[in-house]
Amino acid sequence: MDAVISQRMELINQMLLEMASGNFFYRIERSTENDELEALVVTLNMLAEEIQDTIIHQGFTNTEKTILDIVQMSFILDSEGRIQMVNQQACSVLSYLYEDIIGANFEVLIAKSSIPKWKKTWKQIRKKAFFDTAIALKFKSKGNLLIPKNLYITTFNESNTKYRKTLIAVVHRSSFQKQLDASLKERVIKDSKSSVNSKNKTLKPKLRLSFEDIRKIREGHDIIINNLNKELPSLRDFALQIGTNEFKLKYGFKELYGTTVHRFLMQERLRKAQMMIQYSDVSLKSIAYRVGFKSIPHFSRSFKKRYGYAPSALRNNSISTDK
Amino acid sequence: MSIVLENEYATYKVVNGILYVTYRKDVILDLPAAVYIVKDRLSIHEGLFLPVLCDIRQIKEINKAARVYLAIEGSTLIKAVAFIVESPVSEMLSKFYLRTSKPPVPTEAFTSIEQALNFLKQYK
Repeated sequence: MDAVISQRMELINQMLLEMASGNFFYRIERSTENDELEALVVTLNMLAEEIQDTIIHQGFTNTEKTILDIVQMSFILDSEGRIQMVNQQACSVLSYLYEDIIGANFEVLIAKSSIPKWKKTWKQIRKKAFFDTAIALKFKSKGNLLIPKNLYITTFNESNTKYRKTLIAVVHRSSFQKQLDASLKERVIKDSKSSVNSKNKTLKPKLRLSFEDIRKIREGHDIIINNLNKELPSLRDFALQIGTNEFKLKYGFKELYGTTVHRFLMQERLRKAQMMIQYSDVSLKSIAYRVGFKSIPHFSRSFKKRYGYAPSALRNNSISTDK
Repeated sequence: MSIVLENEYATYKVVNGILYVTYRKDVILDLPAAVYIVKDRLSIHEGLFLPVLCDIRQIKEINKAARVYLAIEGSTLIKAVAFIVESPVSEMLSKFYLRTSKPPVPTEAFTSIEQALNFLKQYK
């Protein structure tokens, strides 16, 4: 019993170490237990998920929607599912030696819970001459941590030998900003080594948000979500209400949520309206009022602009599919 | 009045104006599952706003995309939610959800159905 517990603790420690070194894509495999330790595992997995998302999100907002997708892992399998080629990064992500991976069956790298799904896909792959698909699987590292990923799978026949091969690519999402930041950091550090006294004022961000600012802006975000039906005060008053100023609110909201306060409000209002139209029989007019629109034409116009169809079209469609 | 519906993730029934949603053992919720669950749930509302008693004692996992969807889209036509929790896992799931996803409807967690019903009574 104690041995099992210490094994589970070991995994938790390992996961924390990975997170400490900036790797938020690992997860701990869930056991059948339902105890305090398991609750800690659940929390840790969700925490990593939240952090991973925040990092992508920050990149997203800073770079005006440029996201960089890097092939993190790639494999070539032979007709029996054995690994013929693997890239170096895959070895380090999965913490296996290159020699350990080559020649091994691909299943060795997959978590137990994902094996049935992989087997099913593999069966399909074998049936067809040319096949392209994507599936979500969990990899398992040598240290028993899980890595949930989307796999892009293509089969092909080698042109001269006609041997059946399968290419698997796994994409990791990062941002150009991150790469730029990294190269900038390198330059700055090199620079500061050569001239210790020079002050790089231009490299300072325009505005630094304190934790207090961030907390206030998050509060503002929650106020908006909970009061969609009410009119938003002017940004100046709204900023005062949450204890900050208009400039910080505008700048910080964009920084945190990737959009302006008004666009966000509009987006959430329409999102709520869309659900109400589909699943309630409240009239379109009252839905418009309930989500804070003052005029029906304005509501219809904004809705159509956002989703590409009119609210009434969605309502008719929902009623007809009901029956 | 009692309407019952089942799917592979949960059972739904309406008793005395309260919607009971009981999740099955070891379900893992991702985004497609969450969309499916919300759709089924809304189909038995018949357009009415209802308080919901949500038994999450047996759930195994809810991923981020599912949490976000359940908090926003998933709160459609809901007056209030009472979670029933028991194990440390279900307790943490609910705490984490309430803290990070912040559903816009009144939501609280209870360890007994009686307490939960008491809380929901004020929203009936």
